[in-house]
Amino acid sequence: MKKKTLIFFIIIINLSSIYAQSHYRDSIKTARQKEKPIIKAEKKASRKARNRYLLVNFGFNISKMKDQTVSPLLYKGGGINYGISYLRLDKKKVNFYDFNINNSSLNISNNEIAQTSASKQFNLHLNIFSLYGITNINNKLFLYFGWHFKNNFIAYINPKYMNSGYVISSFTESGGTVRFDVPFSWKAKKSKFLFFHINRKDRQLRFSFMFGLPLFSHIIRPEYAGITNFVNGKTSPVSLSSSFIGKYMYLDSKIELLYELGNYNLIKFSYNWDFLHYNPGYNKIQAANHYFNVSFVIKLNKHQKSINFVKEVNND
Amino acid sequence: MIKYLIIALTIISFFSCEKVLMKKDPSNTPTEVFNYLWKQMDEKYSYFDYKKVNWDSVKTVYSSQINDNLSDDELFSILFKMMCEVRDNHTNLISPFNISRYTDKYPIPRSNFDWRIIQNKYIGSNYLITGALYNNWILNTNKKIGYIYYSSFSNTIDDYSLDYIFKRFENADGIIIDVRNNGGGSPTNIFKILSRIVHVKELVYKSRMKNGPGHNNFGESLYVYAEPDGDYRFSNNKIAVLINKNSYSATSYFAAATKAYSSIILIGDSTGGGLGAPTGGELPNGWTYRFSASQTSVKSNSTWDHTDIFEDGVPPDIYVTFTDDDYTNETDPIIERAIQEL
Repeated sequence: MKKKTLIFFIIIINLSSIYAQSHYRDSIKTARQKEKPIIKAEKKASRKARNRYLLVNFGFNISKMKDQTVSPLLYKGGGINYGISYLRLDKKKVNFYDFNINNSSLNISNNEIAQTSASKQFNLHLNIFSLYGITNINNKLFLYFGWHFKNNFIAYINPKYMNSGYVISSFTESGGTVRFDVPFSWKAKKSKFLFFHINRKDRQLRFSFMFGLPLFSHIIRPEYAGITNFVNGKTSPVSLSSSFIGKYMYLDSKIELLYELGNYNLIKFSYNWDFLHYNPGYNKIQAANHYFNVSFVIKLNKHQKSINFVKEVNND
Repeated sequence: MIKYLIIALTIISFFSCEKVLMKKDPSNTPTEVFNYLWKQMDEKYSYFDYKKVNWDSVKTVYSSQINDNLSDDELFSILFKMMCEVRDNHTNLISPFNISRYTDKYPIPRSNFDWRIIQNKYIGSNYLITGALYNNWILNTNKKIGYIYYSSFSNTIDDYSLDYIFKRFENADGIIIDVRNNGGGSPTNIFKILSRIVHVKELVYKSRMKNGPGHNNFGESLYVYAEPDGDYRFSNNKIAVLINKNSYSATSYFAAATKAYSSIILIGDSTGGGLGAPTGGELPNGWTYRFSASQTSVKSNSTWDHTDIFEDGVPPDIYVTFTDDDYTNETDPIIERAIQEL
């Protein structure tokens, strides 16, 4: 039942993404048919008016990992994240390029086991999103559909496992993404301090929730025995096998709060959860991560009079 | 207020979702640990059929000794005995209080190696230590024979050391490479030495890795070649490689590789084996294990139509062992035979 529900959601989200993309293209097409010569200039102007942001991300994470290539035990721990992102958006389309690095230290989570077993984990995340605005409800809830491309590279070292102590995995996938945005404001109160009357501006914030499901995937994982044949003196014991199909599931969601600093720059607080499950029948892996990030959102084209991302992006 | 509530509920729901999706750790009772280890070996160990080990019978024998009231010492002892049934030195169980290891009973009373005798009688105390290699000319003989001792394949050999030594011995009548009591290490060093003592590229062994749970599930063979390389090499005259039962793992690979070359003579006792690449992992109670997950085969009777699996040890071309008199007379009969052959 669980599987069927999941497959249902995957199909719905991916079909919606395809619909959103075609809807967006159709609208451009119709305009083009109406006035062909004008549309080029409009398109150019629209491209120039597009908001462009550079995001510098810092934060920490809480991670869990169970990789049966080397252990049946759940490892837990934490670490730090850092990375950069590039965001480009107009009223109808959002493009997001995200590159983050994460270093963690994980240990056995079972308190009944007295031994320590430290795994050093290194993650690289490359995410590309292309989302199309579908609708908004009274300018309070905005709905986007689109597609994503993600690569999640995981490497960890645990000398305890000797030749099997270097485990490398890469999960690449593309699929559908759905995003809900809820802009809201925080009414500032007037306050008085001694003889001073303080008038603060209302705070414009935006809550976003994004959820993605894979459609195509490519996985690189350790071979059956956990090591490769390194007896030729040239290869290392790190083994890799690759597959396009497999019992793979990757869920991720993101909650963001955007806070306007003024001068079009923003600060973003985000919480990102992802869950990875891959079971080809051997060396099953499950991993869950919680990322808490603070991002400095720097507007790159400040000279352009453009839309306010927090407040107006969806106001058609 | 409702918005904040939605945010909070969404975050909480992810934590709950994860708890549902991720299974809890297996219990770490002796029964669970025993079953886990047995299954791991059943699916990934590579020499059951070759060694004619009935692993199901092994389970029957040892599972009857397992109950959840066993102490750690008792559990360790039973698991260790079970692992010893495969008679493989690449099999270990590692706990905070002990590391198990399989040690075969020596068929001969001595180890066939005594560094004191080598130093006193054959190379003197002024031998050179060039990187990881001890080397000198053999003393008191009318032949010009170079002697190289390599104590561990874990000690990295660099090109400078090899250039120095093979330049030093370039006019020798022969060279002895002594790898007795060498417990193994990195296979990379095997090919560094071979490149200096072979004259043509040859297929030296084949190796295949487990790729499925059946005892005979193996992937395609990896064909391993040795080829000449380096500025200074010794491939015109004969070379003697000395081995004993304590020559293990990478040293057995080295000995097996020399079988492909008629110019290299293996002298001594057969090696200890260890021709399966060991994989490792963790048990539900946090202990770790390792065992062989590959098979290696060597050319048999000068042809690859038939291959030998020397998991129980690579046999020498000339079998020589120490006697009690040799120790009394301070003579190394294996070196003596090598001098005679070169």
